Amino acid sequence: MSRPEIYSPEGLRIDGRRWNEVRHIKCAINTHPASSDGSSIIEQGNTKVMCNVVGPAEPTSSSGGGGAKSNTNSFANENKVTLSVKATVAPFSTIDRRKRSGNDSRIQEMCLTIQHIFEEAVMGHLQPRSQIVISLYILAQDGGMLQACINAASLALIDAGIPMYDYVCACTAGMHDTEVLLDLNRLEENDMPFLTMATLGATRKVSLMQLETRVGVDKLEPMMAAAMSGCHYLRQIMDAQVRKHGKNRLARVGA
Amino acid sequence: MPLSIAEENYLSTSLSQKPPCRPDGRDPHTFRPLDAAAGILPATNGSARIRLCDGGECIVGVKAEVEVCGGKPVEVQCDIAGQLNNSPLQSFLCTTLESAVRNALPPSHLSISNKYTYKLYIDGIILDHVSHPLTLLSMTIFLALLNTRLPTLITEDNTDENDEIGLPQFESDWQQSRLLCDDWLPPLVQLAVVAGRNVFVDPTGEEAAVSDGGILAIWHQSKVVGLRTVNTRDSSRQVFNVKSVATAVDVLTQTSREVENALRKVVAST
Amino acid sequence: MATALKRYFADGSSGATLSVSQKVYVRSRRGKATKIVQEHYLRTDIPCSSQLCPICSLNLPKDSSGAERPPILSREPPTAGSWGPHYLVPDTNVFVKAMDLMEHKSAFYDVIVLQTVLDELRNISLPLYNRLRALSQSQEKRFYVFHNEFRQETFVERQQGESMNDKNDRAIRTACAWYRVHLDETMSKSSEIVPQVLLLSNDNDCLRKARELGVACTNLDDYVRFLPDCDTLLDMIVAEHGGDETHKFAYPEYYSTSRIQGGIQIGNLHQGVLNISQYNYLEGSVTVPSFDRPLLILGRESINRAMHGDVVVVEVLPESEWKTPSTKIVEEDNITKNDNAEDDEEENLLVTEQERRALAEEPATQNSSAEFKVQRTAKVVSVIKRNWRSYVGHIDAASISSDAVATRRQTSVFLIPMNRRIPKIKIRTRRAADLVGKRILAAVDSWDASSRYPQGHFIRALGDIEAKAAETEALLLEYDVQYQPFTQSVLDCLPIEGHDWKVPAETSDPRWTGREDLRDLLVCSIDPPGCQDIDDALHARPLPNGNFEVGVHIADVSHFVKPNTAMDSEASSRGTTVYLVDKRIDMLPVLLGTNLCSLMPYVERFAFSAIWEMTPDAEIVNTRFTKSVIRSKEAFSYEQAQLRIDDKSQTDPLTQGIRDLLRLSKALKAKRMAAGALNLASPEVKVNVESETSDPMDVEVKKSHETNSLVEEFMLLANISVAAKIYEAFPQSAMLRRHGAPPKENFEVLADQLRVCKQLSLNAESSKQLADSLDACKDSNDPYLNTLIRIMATRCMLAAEYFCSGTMAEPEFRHYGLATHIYTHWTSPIRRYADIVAHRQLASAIAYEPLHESLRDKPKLERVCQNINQRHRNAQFAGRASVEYYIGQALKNHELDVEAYVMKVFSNGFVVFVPQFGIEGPIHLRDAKSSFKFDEANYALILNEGTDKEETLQLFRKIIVHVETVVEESTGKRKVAFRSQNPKIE
Repeated sequence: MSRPEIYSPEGLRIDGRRWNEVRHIKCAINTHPASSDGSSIIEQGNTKVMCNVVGPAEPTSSSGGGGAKSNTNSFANENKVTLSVKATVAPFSTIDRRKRSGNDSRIQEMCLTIQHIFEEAVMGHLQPRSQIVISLYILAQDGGMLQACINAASLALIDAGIPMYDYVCACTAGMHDTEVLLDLNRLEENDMPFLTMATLGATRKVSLMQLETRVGVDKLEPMMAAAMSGCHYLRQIMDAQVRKHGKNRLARVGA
Repeated sequence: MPLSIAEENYLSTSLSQKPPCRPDGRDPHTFRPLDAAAGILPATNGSARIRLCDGGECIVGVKAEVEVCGGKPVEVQCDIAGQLNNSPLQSFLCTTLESAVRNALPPSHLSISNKYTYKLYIDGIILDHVSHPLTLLSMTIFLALLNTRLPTLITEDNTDENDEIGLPQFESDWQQSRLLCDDWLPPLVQLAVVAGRNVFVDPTGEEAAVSDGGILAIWHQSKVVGLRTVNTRDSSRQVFNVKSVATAVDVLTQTSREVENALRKVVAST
Repeated sequence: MATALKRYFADGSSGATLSVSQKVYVRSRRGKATKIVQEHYLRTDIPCSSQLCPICSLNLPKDSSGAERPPILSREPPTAGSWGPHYLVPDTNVFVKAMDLMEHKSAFYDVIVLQTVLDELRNISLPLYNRLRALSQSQEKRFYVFHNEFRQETFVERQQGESMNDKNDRAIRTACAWYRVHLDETMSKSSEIVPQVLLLSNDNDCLRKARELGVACTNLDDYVRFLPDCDTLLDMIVAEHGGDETHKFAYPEYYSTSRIQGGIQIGNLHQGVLNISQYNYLEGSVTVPSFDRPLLILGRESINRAMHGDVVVVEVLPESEWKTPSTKIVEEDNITKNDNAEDDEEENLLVTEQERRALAEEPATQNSSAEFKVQRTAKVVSVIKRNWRSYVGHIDAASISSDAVATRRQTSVFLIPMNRRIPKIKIRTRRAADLVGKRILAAVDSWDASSRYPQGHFIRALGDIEAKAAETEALLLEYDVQYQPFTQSVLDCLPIEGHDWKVPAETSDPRWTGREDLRDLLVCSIDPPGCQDIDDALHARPLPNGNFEVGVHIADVSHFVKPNTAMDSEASSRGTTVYLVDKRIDMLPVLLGTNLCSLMPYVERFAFSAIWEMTPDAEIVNTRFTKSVIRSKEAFSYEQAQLRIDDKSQTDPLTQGIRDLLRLSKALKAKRMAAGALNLASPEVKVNVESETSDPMDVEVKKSHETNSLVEEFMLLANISVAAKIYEAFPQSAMLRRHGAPPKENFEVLADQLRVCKQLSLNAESSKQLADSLDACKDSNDPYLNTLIRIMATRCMLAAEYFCSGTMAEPEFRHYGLATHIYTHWTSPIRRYADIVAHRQLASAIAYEPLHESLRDKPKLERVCQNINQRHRNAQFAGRASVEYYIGQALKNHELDVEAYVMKVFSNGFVVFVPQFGIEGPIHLRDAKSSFKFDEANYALILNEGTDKEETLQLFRKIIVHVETVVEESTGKRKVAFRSQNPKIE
């Protein structure tokens, strides 16, 4: 079978979206109240990520953070909260089953990236000598794994009541010849250069720009502009979800 | 958090007395409520999620891949949050469940041709567990296998002598895929703990910690087909009364049937 | 397919209502079965694209630059027969059967191409898909691709147990029904006639169901009958397979896909490209990686419907059936002359007796000297990829039945392709009588196991056979040369100043940025006389330190041809300029090629310069590259330059510069030769054409001057220097050119022939040894023999090819013929696309401009390389064919006796090569009165053995042949014919 049209001359993408449309988003918070302080599930198209946040709590080795790293009290920071991020990629999340070892370097790198993003977004000075553990579970991958992880972590941190400056919202944008495409799925990701961008809320503050494929310098600007509008749109959706959850909760408390 | 000696003694006594008294007031043969869903991950051949009320949670995805005959037909792997790979608990879970599924599986169900066969990769993620995760994982695998579907082979009519070198071809329509469990049921592995003469199913973490020890039963085709003791507490003391082992078999036979029916209803409703 | 539809509002900027469903299917590839889940969004904003629809034209989707696509389907669509104004909706099968009709200018306007149809077509044939896409891209035929699968109302789900085909047919009918209702509704207030939506299908079941739905529909043939010029159009439809229940012979069936895949994996089947012998249409060979020597495919049954150039899968036959390559000349028209096109199923035998006899070769003898000649034989068991294209040929007049002429009913006739390697093609036509004696373009559609010949259809007639225009067009079509005039969108890319374009006078102009002013250098160009597209110019001057500065200046084409423009893609697709005897088919518009980019004398031009500092012994001290502006001082022909050098009275600096260049070039050449560069030969002749009528006057062998070699040396040097530079800058994506070392086996036959016939030895261990032994292959009595041997040696080699550096390991980069470790083409950007790519990469390597990403994209570059390699080869073939045609024409009224060499010996004839014309051709002994015997071991034919007139015709022997042109009786085709004059063969 031949490769399908990634972007048809009529302006439709492989899944029927236009260039500036993000995939269907489904998100929920407080999904695991029993086992965590904050939790979320996000589905962006067929990419599905779960996130549990535990903390802020006293840093102990039993709090499970750090994975392979040693995790003693010396890890605690006198001035601000310590974040630790770990991710589990389910072997069945890809089309062909693939078992990743726990210390896969790409996953470790992604965890570190997410840790750095939220170290800036969380008001860490309010919780010195404590630790927040963010656990991500990647259950299904269809492009945009990093963006989904960032968005899930953002929601779970808010659910946990961690003080933050704003949501961190992430979105991908790719470049097909001269056309910018927003929020790529797996087939699109494999076919074109793309970047992942995260912004702090609906501002122009960029907390992450990751580009791992070659692209002409002149193409960068339109890609960034598209990704940023995607981020801002995502903030709306996430914020609506959080407010809806809050309203339901208040209604229950009130009754 | 470890129990104090006083707590331990109190718990131990309440469990061993006749009639026993469980901290949460449950009957010895009653399961805690749980939340189960099947078919949650469309990209897998079969999947399930079970959540316990204590926060324990497990997700299982099944992938069937076409391989050349001769390897092992089933592989069970699991990832336990907060634990390193190759921990004793992890390998215990994997080997126990792998052999249970392998023994229960009718060999013809994975066969494709005399050269190719499906291999089932059963991967579990235990996101959190307070009590022993064996029962949890087993139930989730059961549920996932129940809704596992395999693509059907397009049979080619040319049956010439060279056919064994031909690669298999499959029907593209997923609706025409077949259920793995069409006329058989996967096994269930249940853990019960023994305290004195009493047997408790679905033990909580504390109950397991003060019990005399655990007994696991592999249940398949309406009978217990395997039995094993499990050390559920840190100390080495593990002495069972023979009678309580017999009780355990009875109890587990009963509850396994109930669990099996309950889980089948979950799949039927999705 | 799961169908949980979730409504939601998508991105604020598009504001479209979308719902999502999941496409779930099993991908069965390479024996794997993978479940695939993809999102599938359904929308309501896909326009119907009719200019009559007031709703859709108000709400046109925009792309990322904000541009809208205007409605395509016209307000006044065509009518036909009883159908009023209508939009056509052809189903997939109609496109497969009648793509040539769709492209025809006389009908088929306002066509709706459904996404379902487009996708199906793409899975059936990529070339057809590309043609349809091209049609929908060009505005003139008004083809609109309607994405019915993404529109909520027209999306169709596969039902339980429904086949994919049935589902697609249902989707097509649903879309037609929707269109009708949609147009009725939206135009309810309009005063204009609502156009019909007419479904075209040849599937009766589908037509019936469409009628039940109230969709207007018809069969393709019934529709075409109402069009003007329907006879021509009907001929262009691909024939249906007749009811062949009674066929008595059949080719072996191809193996199943799974068996092929499995077999290749295990290694008992092999994949390769089929190459049919030029002299024997029943003999093919396939080179596969597993074996050093090609596998022979002998006979119609083993070739099994594969055609020259097809990618096939073969199975090796048992050793008892291994053979030596055929030693006979077998031409199809002589053997199958009497086949009947109308009813070839009537015959019982797949392989006719004549063919059997033609191939009857005794199995390999245990003759030790012939041992290396025994080759593995194989049979074709599957065709992976057809190399089918359109073929030019003529109708075999003998295949037309007389009553067909009278009744004008549709009959089958044979088309005999110009290319000998292609079998006759059966085509159906009503106009058989009109088409005889014409050059015809036809396509191959299918080749059933039950049909001896492939089935094709007529596309168009080019004109009378032997008419110059028709023959030239035939040749261009045959070698797939794109000869259409440049489109307006290409011409729009040219500078608006046109011929008045000048290098900006002010050096502050932005176009001067990064350019060196080299206008004062004494630059000149040396080219063949009358050259208009001057790619290159040179200069040399002594430096104070005793060294020399040498510069090669190349037309700065990449300044005018920017990546990703219409002109760029046109040039990339043409690949090269094609030179015919009386015609040049340009790669770039003539304004660039012969003016703005041509480095003409006395005018300022943008250039790209490579400048070296060299010692007097031509050792390179320093190399640099720069964009520049030059003013050439003189444009010499090779001969003029030679005269200037030789004229001792000329001592001006320009002449001195040329002398320096010549001296340095000799030093460079000596070094190259010492490194093992080959001096190869190919027959090069020049046809002189009288300019007014372009009738050929005479033929001469091209002369060579020292100055030819001067230019060549510096071009080689420039190319090598540039190759090294761009490879350093872009290790993964540099555009390079390699020439693989030929396998030693390739020379085995030639070496044996030389040993047996001339007692000469040929050593092909390395290029150096080959060069030396070729130098030694001399016969003092016959100076031309050496050239002949070089020509034959050249044919044993591999073709040089363009490649992208990331696709090969560095040792593979070597250019065998030039004996250099790296090479590229950089010096002729006006006429070769590879050079344009190299220019852009070099410009980026010296930080003149950023590199366009398409030049870093390895897969894209690989596709470019593949294309230009193919175009390059075709251009050479077309050039040669053109020379051959003109030689035929030049000899039309002359008969003469010339010297010739025996180049190949068969058991029933031999091939001669005529140096004077650079042509070769067979001499059959079929009708000879003299007796002859084939002495295979000595590569000789012995004539009149035992009589006093005994003659031995051995390979390499010089003979005198009589050359004339004859018109083949069956075909009316003129070709050069040879008759041996001395020794005389009657």
